[in-house]
Amino acid sequence: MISRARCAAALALAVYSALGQADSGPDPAALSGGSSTSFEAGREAYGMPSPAMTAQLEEAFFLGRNLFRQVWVVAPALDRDVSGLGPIFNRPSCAACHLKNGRGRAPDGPIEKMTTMLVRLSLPGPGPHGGPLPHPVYGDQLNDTANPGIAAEGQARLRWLEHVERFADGEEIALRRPLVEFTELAYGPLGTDILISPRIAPPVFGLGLLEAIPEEVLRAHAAREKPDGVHGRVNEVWDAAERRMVIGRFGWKANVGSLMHQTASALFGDLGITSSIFSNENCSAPQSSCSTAPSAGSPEIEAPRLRAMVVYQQLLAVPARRNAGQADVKRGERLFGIAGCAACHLPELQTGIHASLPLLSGQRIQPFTDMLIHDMGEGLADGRPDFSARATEWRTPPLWGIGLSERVNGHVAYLHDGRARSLLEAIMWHAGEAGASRESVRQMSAVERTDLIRFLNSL
Amino acid sequence: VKITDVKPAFASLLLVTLIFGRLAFAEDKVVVLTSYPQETISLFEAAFEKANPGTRLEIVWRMPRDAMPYLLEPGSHGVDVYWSASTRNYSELASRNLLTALPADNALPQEISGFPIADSRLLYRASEIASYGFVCNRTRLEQRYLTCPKTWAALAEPGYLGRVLLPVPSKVGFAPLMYEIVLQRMGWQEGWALIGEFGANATLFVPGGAFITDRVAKGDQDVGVTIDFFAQSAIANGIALEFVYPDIVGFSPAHVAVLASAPHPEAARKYVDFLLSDDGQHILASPDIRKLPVRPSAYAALEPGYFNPFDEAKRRIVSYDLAKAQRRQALSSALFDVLVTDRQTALRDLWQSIHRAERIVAERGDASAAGIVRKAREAATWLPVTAVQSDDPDLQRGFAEQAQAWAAEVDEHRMQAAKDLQSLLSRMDSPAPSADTR
Repeated sequence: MISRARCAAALALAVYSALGQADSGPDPAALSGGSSTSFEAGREAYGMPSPAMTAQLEEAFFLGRNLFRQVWVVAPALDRDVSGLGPIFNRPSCAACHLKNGRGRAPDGPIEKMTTMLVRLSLPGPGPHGGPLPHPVYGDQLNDTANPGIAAEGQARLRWLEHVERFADGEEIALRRPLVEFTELAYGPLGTDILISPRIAPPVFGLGLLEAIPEEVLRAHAAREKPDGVHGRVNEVWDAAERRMVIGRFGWKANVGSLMHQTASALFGDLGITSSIFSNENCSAPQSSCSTAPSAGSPEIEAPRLRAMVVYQQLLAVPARRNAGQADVKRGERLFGIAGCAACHLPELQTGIHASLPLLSGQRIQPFTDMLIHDMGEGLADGRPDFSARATEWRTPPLWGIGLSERVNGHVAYLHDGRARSLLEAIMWHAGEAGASRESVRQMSAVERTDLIRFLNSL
Repeated sequence: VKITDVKPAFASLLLVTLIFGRLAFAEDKVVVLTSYPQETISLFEAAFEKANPGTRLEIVWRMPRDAMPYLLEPGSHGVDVYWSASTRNYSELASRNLLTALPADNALPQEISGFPIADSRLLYRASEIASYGFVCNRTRLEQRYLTCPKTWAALAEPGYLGRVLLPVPSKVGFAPLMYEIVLQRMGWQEGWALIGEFGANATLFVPGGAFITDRVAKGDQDVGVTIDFFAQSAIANGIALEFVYPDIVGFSPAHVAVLASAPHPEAARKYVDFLLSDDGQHILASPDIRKLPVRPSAYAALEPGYFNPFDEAKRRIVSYDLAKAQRRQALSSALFDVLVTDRQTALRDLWQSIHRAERIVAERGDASAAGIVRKAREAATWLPVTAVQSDDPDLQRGFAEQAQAWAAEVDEHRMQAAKDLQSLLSRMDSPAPSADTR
């Protein structure tokens, strides 16, 4: 199976050459996702199937794509296969938040509603399996939309507070942080001890490869000594699909262990679609009109279609690196290393055995993440622990494909709450374990900063 | 080096605002029932709410067949605006007096070259239109020394054998009206003859897996027959494809209407106004939508070469009577299955034999053979339903029983043609007797 994957890598290189982009010969540095690398660099860059995908997997992949893009319908409906939306929810489709499989963004101000982000809620103290303790009425996220005749939970509005940071050469950069305001709360006050965390939707390509990184590799990296006060550790989370504790791989705080859990919980929490993993409607006891609303059945999405949605995300190819050999990009790459960024944003990892999708096995990939949680300082803290991840701790997000973000989604919004309007802003929010790296960037000249950003944009 | 501003605030500031802050948002809303894909909804939602601060867009999503029972319930579930591609639903809602008239706007045409895009009483009007054509993988075609076909007739050319992806109308929502373009322009008999001939040449497409554009871009086939916006959107998103509007074009409108029972009539009007404004119409040209505006002035701001149906209709043949097409839609789709889908392999063999025999006959000038081939062609294009019958309301309502008989008759004609051709071809393929008998 691995040899088939290698064939696919060779094919990807052949396509690359055929496109005339490899005058200096095939560049292994371009293969960010190993054999699951796509050379599409347009607005569909995050939506291509792995070139290594076999014909047998096409049916599941495209069914999953259809379901991912499907706008779900309020029950009862003639289109029973896609009914069951709500009763309370955030958005009616996966694609509504993950537009073109890319990242969400934060509203520019309080007038604009949240369309590609949500606000997580909890109360202090441990909840089920050591995770966040859901609010007894509002649960673990604010559902700001509801089916006709049912009250949505309320609206979350963002205001921004700006402050200015200065680089060593005197150039200034404005950073902003969000203040969250809740309005139209339909089921009573949230209470003074509520913990909140606004989060934008992350990109969804390349996730099968991240799922295939062996646990021991991540644990070994966590245990390894690192420079400049960098540590990193795995989050240990409850996986509702496997019904056991596993290491966290996905989510802004590595708070989700598997794509199956991630997909089922997002269907449940964001859309109100039940599955065998989350089988009861997303209504709390005081939400009586929600509890008595028609359901589309139990579950509303059955296992094969849920599985297809997972396969879709597992097989979305990673965009190839662009301009990796260019002089400024190479200088930026060197600066990335000098600043210590690569201690957490690991340039290279090797996948292990992916039991259900062998084509993802044994791949040398360039995700630029260690998938560990790190203390990122008080400036980014959300005050809401998630399993063992503390308020200040966040997972190192993968950087692959980040240079195509604006082209695909038409905006730039980085970090968990979309506060960063540029890569440089995102860097300047780094603190805690990443504080030394930020200070290193602060000392860079304007040219060096430009080279660094060009390198990031080549990913 | 020092940080020049205040230390970044911590999460507790979120909480402070939460407890003590209080923003006032006096909001109106408009409830819109639609079947548009998420990309379209998201773009209009963002633009409308930005242009109308304080008015929230709430979407209820239903496919057209699911929308009607929903809208026909008392109060229509609080829906203000119906915005979808289903002319039949709009005419039914209008006939039941469930719609309220839209304001007149002289800058919005009522028709394009005779093709109506607004209800005569303005109870509903088109908010955008789509057309049909051929999406092509130019690289693959060039490798075969072919170009993207420009006419419907070209799809039947032997060079495209197996390389054209053709949607099955009983399975693909946009396809029935597309074939009506050919039927109405060429006439029922001639139209079906051509559809059968290029149907034999094609690879049939049913939904559920990769899209037509995916398959053509990947090179599974070189040409896809499709509604334009799927292809134009893929191209605008950077996929290496080409799209050609053929010699005969038709339009498929999507409409907007305000329900008479709309609980938010002011907001409803705002939404319709926005949709039909220049700003709203420009959104249709977004890479993820690629529909055709109904406000002619909107084209001035679009990129050069953007297909403008108001201009193109003067240059191309525009078919067709939409109402007629809709009346016989189910019948035509069933007929396509009988003629093409259910017996495509045999149909392909038959047409290959016909083409081969025609070539040989043309080379040899054999009159009796030409007659046999002509008869075979007639048999291959024999139709179990006449044009007059296709307009029969009784037949349009129910034809399941007849369909079996149609299939048997079609087979009978085609088998006879195949037999005649086989005999002819084996005779013509035999070496001519030698004059030297020693």
